[in-house]
Amino acid sequence: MGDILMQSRNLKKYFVDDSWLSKEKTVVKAVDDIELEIYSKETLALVGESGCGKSTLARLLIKLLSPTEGEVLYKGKNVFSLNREETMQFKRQVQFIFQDPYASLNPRLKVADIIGEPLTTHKLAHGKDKQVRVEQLMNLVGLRPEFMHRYPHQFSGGQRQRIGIARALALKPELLICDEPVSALDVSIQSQILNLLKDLQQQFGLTYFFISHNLSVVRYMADRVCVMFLGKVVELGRCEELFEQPLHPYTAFLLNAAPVPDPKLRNRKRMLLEGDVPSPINPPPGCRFHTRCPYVQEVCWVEEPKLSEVGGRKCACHFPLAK
Amino acid sequence: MADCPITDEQHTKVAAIDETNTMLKVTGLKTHFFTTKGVLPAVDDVSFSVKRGKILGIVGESGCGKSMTALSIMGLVPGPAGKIVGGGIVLDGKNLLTLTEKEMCKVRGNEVSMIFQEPMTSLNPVYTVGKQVMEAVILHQHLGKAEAREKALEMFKLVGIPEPEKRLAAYPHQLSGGLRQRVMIAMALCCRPKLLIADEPTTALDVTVQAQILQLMKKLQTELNSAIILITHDMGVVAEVCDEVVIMYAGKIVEQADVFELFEHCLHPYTAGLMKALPTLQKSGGRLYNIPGMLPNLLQLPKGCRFYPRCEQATPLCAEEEPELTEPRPGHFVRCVKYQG
Repeated sequence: MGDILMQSRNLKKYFVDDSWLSKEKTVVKAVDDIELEIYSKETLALVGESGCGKSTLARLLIKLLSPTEGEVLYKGKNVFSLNREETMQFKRQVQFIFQDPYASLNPRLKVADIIGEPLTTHKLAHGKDKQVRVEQLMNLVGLRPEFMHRYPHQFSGGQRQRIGIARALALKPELLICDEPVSALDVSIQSQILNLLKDLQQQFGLTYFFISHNLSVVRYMADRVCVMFLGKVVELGRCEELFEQPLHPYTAFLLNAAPVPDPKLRNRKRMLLEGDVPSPINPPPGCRFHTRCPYVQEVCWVEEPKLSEVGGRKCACHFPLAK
Repeated sequence: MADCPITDEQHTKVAAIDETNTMLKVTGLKTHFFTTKGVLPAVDDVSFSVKRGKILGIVGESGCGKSMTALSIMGLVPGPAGKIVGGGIVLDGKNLLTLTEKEMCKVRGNEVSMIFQEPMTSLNPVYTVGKQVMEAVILHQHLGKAEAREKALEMFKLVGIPEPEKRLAAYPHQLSGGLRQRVMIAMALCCRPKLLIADEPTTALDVTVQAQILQLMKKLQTELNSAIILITHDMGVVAEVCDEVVIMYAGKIVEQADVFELFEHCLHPYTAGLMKALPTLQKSGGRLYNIPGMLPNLLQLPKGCRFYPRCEQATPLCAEEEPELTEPRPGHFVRCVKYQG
């Protein structure tokens, strides 16, 4: 593993609604005290159900949101106290790939303009240079450069996702934040995009922060996995270990719920989570998972477990499943 | 019943039901779109049947015609461009294609109902979910308001919505994705349909909720004994719940078999590709298999096998002529030259 590229410290983002229209003041603790390190050239995956704060965390890391408390360090510098010049540099080095390839491309711009826009914004290339660079980028992601004068609607979902990837690569970033990059795609297209992301990582030594709710995809892509539940990290560890021997009951539930493509295993013993994710508005006291946990004991109701080392991994549970 | 003599007529009727036990029979269905650029064969000669109390999975990439097959059964093919130009759809002895629109309205929601992919967009945001479920009951079963409410409540309990009485008065935006999908299922089931069509019912949901919904569908299948068609592109989902599977490619069925048979002896290169392309929980690293190329443009279909340009095992023969659906193993149909003759 390389050096620490990005790091978050006590990172918190609360969304407070106390306008006169709402009956009472509500606080949504979307991201609550998260400590995370992203190492250079690794793929760190973030897994969790919708509403657990995955996307909020991603947005904090690229400075699209400002935190309620805490800081994000990129190469040792707090990204929220950078000056104008440094901010531009930070944005060149950290790029984002969005979930929905239909909504994240401007329908009124041609592909050449979409991919070339970051180059113009950062005054890196123009005119002929820009066109050459756009052609290179299109080749890189497996799009025919002849298509550069087409509009996004003339492409299929998989091709649009390739356009999004080319745009993200235009500035030669070091860190790519991928927010569910394949969840809107068909299985056969999904495997093409995943392979492309892996190839690009090898070729350019990229670091990925990969958000997904599909565990099979995470298993294929990630070096380390971080499992989030209601704004908190509940487990963090190396991919193989975490998948083979989950420590937190929530991780075990997630793994168990994933469909297995083998009908002979359909009657295997199932652990089904009851109900939905508890509301992040005024979450339950103690361990946030205690309302759904089958192993719940008295201490879980009162005391919130800390994220602590368990056998080389980190887990926030009073009674981890295995030592 | 026991002491009244069975007439010959009744006898043959009972025998016919026993013999087939088939709820839905689709034969040679052709749904084409007549566009300015030409005729687009979205569904081309598709035949399958679903038995009472069984789940049939229809699998394929987007654009392969799986949703259009479902809409054809529902009589909801978007006109005027789309038309059913051939074939038959017989639901429990009734030919749906000969019905008038008025008669079809009675069938829809009552005997066949459908769950759509996006629970967010298929519920009306300005009415409470209770009202929306009751509407279906009042329309189709001619019940009064109070009875309809009872019925809606009963369905909410059946699909496992917590605090059902409170939820009846909730608006769609107040519910989570999983709950909204449960409301959709409750709405689809409130008239006890003979056939339920679920179009990607779990694609927009989290794994934990997906597992709950799939479990629920299995439970309903055994409790109500209705037939279910599950449309999906996820082989994992198919393996979990389906009994029979149909694989579609570019408007045609390319493989059809029992689920255990299919996963053990998959024959068509496309099906094999779909299975290999799926990342699994067990393996990591390496490269994922991918099916090269893209779905062909239905307006300019290749001569011969429709999968031929993307097939790794293609032979010169594949480009010549389109293979027929054959049965190389009992109950296992495949459309590929490898198994012709």
